[in-house]
Amino acid sequence: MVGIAELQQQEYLSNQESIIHNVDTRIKLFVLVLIIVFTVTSTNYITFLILELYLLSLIIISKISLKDAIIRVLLILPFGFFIAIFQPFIQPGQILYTLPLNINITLEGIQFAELLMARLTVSVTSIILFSFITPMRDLAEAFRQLHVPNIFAMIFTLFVRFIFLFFDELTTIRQAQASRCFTLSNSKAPYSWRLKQVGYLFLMMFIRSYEQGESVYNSMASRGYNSESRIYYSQEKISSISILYLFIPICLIIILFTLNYVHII
Amino acid sequence: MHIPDGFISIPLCIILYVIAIIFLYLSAKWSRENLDEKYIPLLAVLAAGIFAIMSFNLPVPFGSSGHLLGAALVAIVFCSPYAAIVVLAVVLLIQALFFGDGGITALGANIINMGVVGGFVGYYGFKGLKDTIGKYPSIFIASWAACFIAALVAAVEMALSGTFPIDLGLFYMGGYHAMIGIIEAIITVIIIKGIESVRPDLLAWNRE
Repeated sequence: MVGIAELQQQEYLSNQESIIHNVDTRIKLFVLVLIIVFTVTSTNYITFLILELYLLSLIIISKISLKDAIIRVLLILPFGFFIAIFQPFIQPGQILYTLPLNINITLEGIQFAELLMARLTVSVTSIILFSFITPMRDLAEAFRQLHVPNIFAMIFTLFVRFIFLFFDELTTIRQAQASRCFTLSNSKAPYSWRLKQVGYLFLMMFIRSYEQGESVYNSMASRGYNSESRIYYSQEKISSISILYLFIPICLIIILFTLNYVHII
Repeated sequence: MHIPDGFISIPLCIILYVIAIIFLYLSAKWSRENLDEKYIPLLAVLAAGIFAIMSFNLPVPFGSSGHLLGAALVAIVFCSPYAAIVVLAVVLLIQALFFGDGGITALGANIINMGVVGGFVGYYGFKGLKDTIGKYPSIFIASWAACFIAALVAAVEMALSGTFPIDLGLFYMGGYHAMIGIIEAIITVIIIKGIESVRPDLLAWNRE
């Protein structure tokens, strides 16, 4: 679940200055996908370890607090951990322990849970790195440079500009509710009543967002926007740092794949 | 319901990505043919509103919590499942790329589960039941079914990938989302009833 704190942290950190932050967003996106695809197709723990160390070193080079990054990774992991934790009990295989009620813990189940968690850790770390070095508006521009269909590029560009506004509005409404001693967890008020209040809150958000959308359209139309409009994007050349940012993980992946293939790791 | 990276096999990820891209293409086509230029900024800002709404964790009885999907809501308001696919695709993309909420390789699966299944079940459930049981009961059932069936599809995908057995997956995912679905259904009814009373022009069936 994304809260205002996560959104603000992402916006603040992604607008810092470092050589990693200055890498072209298309390259960052490509490297992110490359590392995740390689991770989810790999089964070698040394590969996971080297990729994780590589990603952590990039976090350090980008001058982002390692502590902040690790905390974010740990906050996301429980999501997958919940599915992984069941694996020792549900995967068939060699039985290691038998618990009461005839519940078996299998070796294959433990190994599969480890594999899922290792893949998830590397994938989540690469997402956290990407999110901490990439402002959302840069991704919107990258989509336009990558010639994503106009409707999606346009929606994405406008979407990115408005989410902060809505999170601010949501926070303001919740603060107003809190100042009147309204909390969702207050069991003294009937559950149905609390649910109704949340419904009204969402209704307010929905109508506000719809009306905001209409105002946005009116102001865009008054400036000449129509269905054929294309949003401007710059045609910057890819820097040598960006090429290096792409080249290193490709080499790393080729080396790890080869070493794994010839059973050296 | 957001499936993370590594929990779906690569062949299935590819198949689901292809299906998701086909639906995204159909959604873009639907938008071009059925919506005038006004609706692009409207859908974008609505997606931002839905993103904020999805961040709100609702307490579910028995100490658990969940959040609104919003697919049925958007599909019913726009009278088209394709509107839900466009909105949910943008929301899920941001969640996956910036917040680790759902995986990058599983993005196709998540778009299908929440956008496509949520949108189609939500809209056609509403459309099919409206004349038989009335507008609001049909919205309630359709939004509940959108959440519940999307969760079942996610369970089937994980079972096909060997991550979670089908029987346990259907039981746990189905059971949990059957409960969350009731909350989703109540909230969706409240929102649509509210829109009907304050801005009836926003509902597509009033414009037809």
